[in-house]
Amino acid sequence: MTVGKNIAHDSARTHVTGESIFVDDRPMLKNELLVGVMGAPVSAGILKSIDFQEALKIPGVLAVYTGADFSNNKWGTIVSEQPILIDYQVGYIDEPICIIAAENEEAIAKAKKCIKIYIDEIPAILNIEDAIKENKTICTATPFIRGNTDQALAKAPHVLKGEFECGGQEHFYMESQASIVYPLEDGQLEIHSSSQHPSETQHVVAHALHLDFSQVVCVVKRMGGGFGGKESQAAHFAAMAALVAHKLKRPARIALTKDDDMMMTGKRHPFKNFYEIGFDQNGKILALKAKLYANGGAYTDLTPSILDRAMFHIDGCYFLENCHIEGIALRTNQHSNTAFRGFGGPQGNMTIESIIEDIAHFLKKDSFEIRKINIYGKVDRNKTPYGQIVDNNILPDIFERLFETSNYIKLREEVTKFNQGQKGKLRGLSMTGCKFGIAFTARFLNQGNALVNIHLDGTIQVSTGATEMGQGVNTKIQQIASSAFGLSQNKVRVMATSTEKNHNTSPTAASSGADINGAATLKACEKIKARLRWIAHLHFSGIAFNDSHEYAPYIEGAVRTDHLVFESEMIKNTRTAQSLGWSELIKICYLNRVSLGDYAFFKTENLGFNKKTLTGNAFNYFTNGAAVSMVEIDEYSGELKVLQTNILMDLGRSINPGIDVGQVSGAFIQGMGWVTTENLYYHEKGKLLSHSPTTYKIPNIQDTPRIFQIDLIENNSNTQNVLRSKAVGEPPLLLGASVWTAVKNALGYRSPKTIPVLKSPATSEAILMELIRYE
Amino acid sequence: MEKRNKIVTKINHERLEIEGDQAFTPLAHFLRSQKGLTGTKIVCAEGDCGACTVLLGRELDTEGKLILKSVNSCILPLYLIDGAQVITVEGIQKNETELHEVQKAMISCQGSQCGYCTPGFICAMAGMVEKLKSENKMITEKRAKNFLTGNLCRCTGYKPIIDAAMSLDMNQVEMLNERYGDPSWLLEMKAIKTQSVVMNFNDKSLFLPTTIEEALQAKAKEGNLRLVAGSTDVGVVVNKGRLETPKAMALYHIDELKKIQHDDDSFFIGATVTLSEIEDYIEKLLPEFKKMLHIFASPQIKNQATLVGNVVNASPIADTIPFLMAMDAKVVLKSQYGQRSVELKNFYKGYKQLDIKAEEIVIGIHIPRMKKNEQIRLYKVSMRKDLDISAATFAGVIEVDGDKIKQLRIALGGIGPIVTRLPFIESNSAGKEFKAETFEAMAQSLPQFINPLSDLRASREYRMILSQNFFRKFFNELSSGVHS
Repeated sequence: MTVGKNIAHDSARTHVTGESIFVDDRPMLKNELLVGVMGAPVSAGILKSIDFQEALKIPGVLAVYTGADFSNNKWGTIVSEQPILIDYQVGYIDEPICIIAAENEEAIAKAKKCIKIYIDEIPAILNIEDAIKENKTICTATPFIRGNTDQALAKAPHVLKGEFECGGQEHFYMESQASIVYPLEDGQLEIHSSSQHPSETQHVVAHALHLDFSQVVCVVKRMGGGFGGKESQAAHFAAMAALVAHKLKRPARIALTKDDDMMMTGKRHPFKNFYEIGFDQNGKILALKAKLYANGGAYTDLTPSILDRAMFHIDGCYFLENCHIEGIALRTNQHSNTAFRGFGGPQGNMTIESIIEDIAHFLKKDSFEIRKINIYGKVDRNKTPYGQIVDNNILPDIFERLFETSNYIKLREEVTKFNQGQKGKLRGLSMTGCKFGIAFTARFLNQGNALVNIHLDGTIQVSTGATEMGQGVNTKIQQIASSAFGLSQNKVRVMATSTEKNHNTSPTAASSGADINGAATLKACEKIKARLRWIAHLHFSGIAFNDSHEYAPYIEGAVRTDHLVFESEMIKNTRTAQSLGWSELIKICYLNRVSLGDYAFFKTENLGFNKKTLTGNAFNYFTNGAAVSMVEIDEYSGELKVLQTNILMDLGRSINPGIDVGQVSGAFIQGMGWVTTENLYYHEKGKLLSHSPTTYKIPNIQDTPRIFQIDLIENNSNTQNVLRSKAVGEPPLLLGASVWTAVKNALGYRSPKTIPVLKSPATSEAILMELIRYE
Repeated sequence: MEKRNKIVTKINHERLEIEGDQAFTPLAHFLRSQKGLTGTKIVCAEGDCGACTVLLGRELDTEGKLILKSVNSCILPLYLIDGAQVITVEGIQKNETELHEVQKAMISCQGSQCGYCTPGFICAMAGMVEKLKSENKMITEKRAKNFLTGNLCRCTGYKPIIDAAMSLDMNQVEMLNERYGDPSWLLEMKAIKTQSVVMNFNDKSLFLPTTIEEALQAKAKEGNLRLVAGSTDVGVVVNKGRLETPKAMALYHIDELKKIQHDDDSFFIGATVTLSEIEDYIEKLLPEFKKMLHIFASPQIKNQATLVGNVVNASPIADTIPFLMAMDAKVVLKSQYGQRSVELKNFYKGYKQLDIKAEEIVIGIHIPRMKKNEQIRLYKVSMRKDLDISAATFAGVIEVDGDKIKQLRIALGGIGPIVTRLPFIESNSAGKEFKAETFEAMAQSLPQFINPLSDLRASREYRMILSQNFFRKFFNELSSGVHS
């Protein structure tokens, strides 16, 4: 069994030798062209004209294209409203406005300098406040309502009113957006893209060029990171290269620079959430009234679903008896914000964690106490605001266990004592949790298919719609397939994702890659196994086959064969102790004309969220966890150090603990970056000025907690998912919030009377300016 | 002496001669597009993420073995690797089947997820092994983090990478300088450095002199000759299309300029001495400056960048300048017509304006040694502690006599167009009591003397408060004997 083992990532060896091929590593073909993108010079306005005649005279420049060159210039995952290249209205500064096809980068650079863009500039809306004022909305969600919130607030012994505000976040995948498009015969295109959603890339390209979907194949070998940034926003860049390939009949490559990528692509949604919270003297929450505002940027993109997920996660790990949750997504003149690991979940979850920190400060209690009495119950107080029961609830165990293993009481004593010492350094401590709903909230996306082919030497190729972006989905699928056949993992190769092999696939997103595609793979393997067992059964029965006598074909259910098991590269008869080697078995099947390949379709069952009543099972199950973080602040500069973080995660029965712990570690640090150093800084006219690692600071190795402990809790109860595992990609990102709440806790020591006011990210500057306020 | 018109270098096991304006190509581009060595990745193209890290061996140690150091190949033009050995990620593995120990460790500790940063980490980690093993040092978590500070990873949260580094058995690890110790190449390397390189093509030119005299002659003839040391700044602005360097001169073949030395009174640091060489040299002699260099930048940058480069680049937020200024350092300039020294505090005339003549070259920095009774503190505040550009910097040197301040020298950066000393506060402090109130008064008076800007790194207000707090922290640390 390879499932459950810490097996190395299937690309680890080629990664460490530099052999792994990413899109821009593909050798340049002789007649290949490079595609450069030019962005809009202003944040808002009406495009009058683009004069590129001079650019065409530059040696090496083949063409300049604008939106008018596409058959269909509009795209969009939910609403088809975003221009691939601006054709009339400017949505945001640096939005792609025209593309240059050239033989080399120098020609592109020269061309950009002489293209003239004429725009009638109009005032831009660049933040949530102005968008609220101007009533610029993308969508308004139907509110979640339970109980009588107004009444409960009126009766509550204590009510706090406040706002929680968090900034956006750049994905900072190391590999920027990249696609190469090869023109094939008869108008066909082969796209190699760094995309989390090859099917959408295929569809957007075909639509833009007025091709049949069947004329376009999109292949994704791997991505150099995705994090949601290549879910929807890989497609239109692929379309730009496809236009060049289609028009000029030459291969075309687009590979954005980091600066262009950061300026042109969307980010995590900033939110500003207003709330009233009612609670009793013990800190038990009686009612929450909240209104969430998301900054969607210029276009709809995935914003409605992200707003939904924020609302789905504002309960955090806590039972809200009465609640009234509203959500509005705003349209601004900024890059179109998009999916980012957590997909609104972190923004919702952090709101309630922030509120709890405030309640604790108000009541002069440890925030852990407040969390403990509000946590979802196992038998009662276990229904979410949207009516889903929190099944097999392990949250109380996680909180209790982590409280003990992190030695929380001792840490608290240390922090309190430390803060009584000389001014200069200040410490804080906090535990936060996550209960992340697993499933796409758009039900139709919860489907996938897999193709499994066994070759004559017994080695296997698996193809699914999952895309590999480092998260190890291919390794997990490799483990699922090899375990199904009782083989070692190196017998199974997971192939590049291609729309030629798997159709109408869902994006690799919502943490569901291994859930959906792993389950489909297992199903396909089981179909093949039934036939292999049948042949083994005939073989073990002593029936011979030869040129004139072929084994009878497999008939489903004709004979029970569950006593035939696949293990140790063999099929074994557990009744008779007979066995047959794997490669021999495959050979016999082939000679008897038994299919050695199969395809399976999978859909997640029991999803029944009613969008009208807003109740039901929005999610298949929840992935849970908690983190304790201890921080230290330099009171002279506001600089922050994370001294310690202990994490406890529930990942069900982990398919690969090594990969899963890596996901937890990576997600936590990414979440920590979002709430601390990752500050998107814009010019007052809208231009993003922090558009490279020099100015945009993701955590580096020195920022990791000095003590960093990650453990998984045992949980075999998740029968809802493939092999009782749980999805891991996004949930631990929510735990990064524990660093931020710990900062809030630290500030509270210097502000005993009033509740600390802190936005996210808690930059050094934000922390120091808040400390100054107390003097 | 015969002059060459091409760059001679070695990439992995291949000896190469580079001619024409290809010499201006950044190494990373050359590797990827000309040599098919696509393991080296370009992400930021500004030396800030480490994905393009390769190992560079320019010098030999006392045993005649290559000293291999990690560098950022994206900002390193080929003309800076004349006579050097480059090892890319493709050259790290032992052979077709066997991997280097750092590669094995990264696999078994799940140190690689998406794989895009991995080649850079492999090279940086191999560089760590070369250095530590040659000094007979063990790997500690702190050291591992320090050697990997220049590599960003967005997937792993670094924990598995730290685990990988910590799992290395130093006794088992192979030294690359053994495998890449081909004696005939090492001999050729030495010979290469004794030959000047002159390359002229169309409107561009390159000059790698071997003597100061040659360099001064060239500078006198062509005033707008761009001097390039480590290219850690020039390489960035060139990559981002904000500068062209058609006429460049690099001084790394001039032995005289590589000198770092000290006597009882002072240090002298030559123009091409890198920051990491300085870091090693002053470890015991100037621990406070060593600490500053530690967070100055990544190992990759420090292995390329020079102190003189940092001084001449004249950024108001250059990390080394406040220290040098507070130490009363002098810039030593030379031309065909003679040599002169300028106090660093008088060297900057305005934003990026220097007291330097067209025919002059900075040959080094002269730094007086600390007096016995002097104490020093250097502070830097940035958005991220390590590998970040400063919001504000401070250097304070003080001599206290009994309970009185005898002498105080303060330099501040990030508070105006240039790094500045604070003469009024300094002279006014002499004879004042060494107590909190004295420093509080200095902090309070500061707004009269400085005029910080708001930008993406910090607001004006924050910079002002930081600058004032530097004084408070300075006193608190000195009075309690603490080093932060």
